[in-house]
Amino acid sequence: MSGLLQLLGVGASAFQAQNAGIAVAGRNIANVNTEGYSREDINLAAQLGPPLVGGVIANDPTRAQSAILAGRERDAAGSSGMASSQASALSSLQDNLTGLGANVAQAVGDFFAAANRLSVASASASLRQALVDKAQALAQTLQASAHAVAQAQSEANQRIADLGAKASQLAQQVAAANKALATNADPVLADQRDQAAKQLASIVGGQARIDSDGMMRVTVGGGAVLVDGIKAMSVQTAANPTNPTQVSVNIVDGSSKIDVTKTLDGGQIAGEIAFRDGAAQTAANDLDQLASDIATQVNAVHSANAGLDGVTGRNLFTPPAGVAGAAANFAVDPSIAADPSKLATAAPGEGTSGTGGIMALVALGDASNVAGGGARSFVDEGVRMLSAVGSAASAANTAQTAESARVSSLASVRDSLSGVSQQDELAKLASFQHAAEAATQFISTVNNLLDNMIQTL
Amino acid sequence: MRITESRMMELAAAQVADSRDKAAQAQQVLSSGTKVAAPSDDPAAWADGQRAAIRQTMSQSRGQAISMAVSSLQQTDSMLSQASSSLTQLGALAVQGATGTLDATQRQGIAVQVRSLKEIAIDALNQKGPDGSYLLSGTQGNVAAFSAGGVYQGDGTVRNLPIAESASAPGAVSGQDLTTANGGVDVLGVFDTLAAALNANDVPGIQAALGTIQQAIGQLSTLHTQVGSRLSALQNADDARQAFEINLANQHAAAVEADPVTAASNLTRASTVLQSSQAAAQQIIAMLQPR
Repeated sequence: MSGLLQLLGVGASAFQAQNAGIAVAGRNIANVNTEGYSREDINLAAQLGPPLVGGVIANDPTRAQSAILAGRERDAAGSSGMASSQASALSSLQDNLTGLGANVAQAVGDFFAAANRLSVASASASLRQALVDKAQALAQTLQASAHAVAQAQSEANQRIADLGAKASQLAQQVAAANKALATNADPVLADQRDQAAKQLASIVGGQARIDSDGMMRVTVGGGAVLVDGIKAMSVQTAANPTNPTQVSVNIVDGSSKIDVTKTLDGGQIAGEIAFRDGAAQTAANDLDQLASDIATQVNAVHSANAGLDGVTGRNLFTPPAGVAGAAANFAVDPSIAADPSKLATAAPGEGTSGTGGIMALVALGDASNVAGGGARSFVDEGVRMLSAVGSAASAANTAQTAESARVSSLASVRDSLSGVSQQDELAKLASFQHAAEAATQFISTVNNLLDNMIQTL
Repeated sequence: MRITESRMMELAAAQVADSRDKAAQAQQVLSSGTKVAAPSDDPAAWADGQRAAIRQTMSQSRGQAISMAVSSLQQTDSMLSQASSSLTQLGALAVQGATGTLDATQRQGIAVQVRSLKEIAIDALNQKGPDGSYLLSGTQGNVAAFSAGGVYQGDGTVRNLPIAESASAPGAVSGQDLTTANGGVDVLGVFDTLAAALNANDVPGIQAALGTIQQAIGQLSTLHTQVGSRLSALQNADDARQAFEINLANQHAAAVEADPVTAASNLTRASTVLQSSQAAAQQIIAMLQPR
């Protein structure tokens, strides 16, 4: 009698264990499309007991996950975020610089082409006006290009601020998950923490580790702590004291802050900073240098020669105050713009039809040692500057492609380890269902035996 | 490696998207005829293409300058022909005036014709070019080359124009070559010399003027020849410029333009890959359909 009652217990434990398996398979199936969800497995263990009457017990579900793989995913997310933000910003800058009516190099070429035409009929009012028009167009192109670069840098600053706010939220999510996991070991909380940490890495890069107390700690920018257990710092931007047009990035903890602008080594913010302070700043500097070179050297030629009135000493372009800002402030001298007869086409001593002045300007346009530190012509320097932006965009695109492939490869590895296969889960579900039905049948059989025994007694 | 249904779908979708992008790019290259549309497509090729295109633009502007200079020189050539005709007529009048049968009154009548011829010659030599400058005034283009009295008012500077990169050539001649500045005779002065001799009924003077007239005709002819040689030089320069532009066009094409056959072949290949990707994706979808 007591043996049969024990068998009922065996059946009941079997029924409960198979139901737990059904529940785990059901949760897996329910989360088949949940990003960051790690498949759970139920571990059934045979219960010890007297011979022939052992039962089964369902242990807590385990999470199919690898801390090493999660770390590699975070690392890849940081690199990918950095590459993608750089590629996107550079592509946009390239489009803005080359999508103008005429790019810088073309505008320089058009200006000197107009000088070529004027050289044969220097007294022609229409050809003089045409040269002034091309000078104005060159000024507008340089200004527009400088504006495009400044705008791109400003937009990068704004994106950095937005990303900083998002990173702060994610850091709080990681800290909140740390806190929740301290009292509740639900694998879903660990998944959510991993997912938040990965998103955080895609923004700020850095490293995350799970310490022996089960808490995830996140450091960025060479060691600045962003998440320390249940405490999250914030990512804030501030005007750069040495360059007010560029924001700096700080990890802020109350009143203390650590500037990580130069030390962030991954993530979208690092990509934006690399773009802003790298290729974009180089383009801005190159534009200013080119504008300064053109204005200075054209003015030197122009002022040495004479207009139709025989007067020398006039500038064609407003002299730059310095190299910095030369492109943004590039302008045709107002007196020349208002009166093209003042264009200096004649050499000193020549009459009004003299072409010594305009020929000197033409020679300047042909010269191959007037820009790029004396290594190139003005046109070639314009082409080089635009090509440099293109090279940076191309390199960023290549890096993005490589990082995307890396992310995809890791996604496959993660899927292999942690992904939910519907067919696998359906098979498990069927297995657990049949086992549960068998357990029910077993209980029914034992119950019948007990009934028979009771009736016999 | 274990692959879940979700991952299979993701990979299939990514493959289809990638193939679609490549097919769209191939289609864009074929329809636009451009394989390098932006610097990032191929920075070095884009730079080569830009440089070639800008050098073409500048070469075309030199072509326009050459064309205007040729037009001016042709006009100068015509002017000098008119002046030469006046000098030839002057020579004929001198021969007529030197005839012993004429009396003083008849010679004075010829002198009137000589003065008229001089005015015609001055008018011919004082024509303006396309920009409104006097063609023979050197750089003093706002002043008539010769005064009403036949005195040269320009200078001896010859205007140059660009004919190639870092190369220039003279695009005009100076009326100073019709004066005594370079060791010749005063071409318009011979009209006055002959008219004076005719008015004075000075037959030896008229005969002496005949020699000067021949010198003036030779001097004008030399200038005429100079115009011809400069025209020829400019036309040669323009031929070289056009050949240079063809070369630049080829450089531009090689750098950024797509070969239609290659582009069509690439599109065919990309389309085939896209179709294969789509077929594979459909196969995966069918495979994963609940039965």
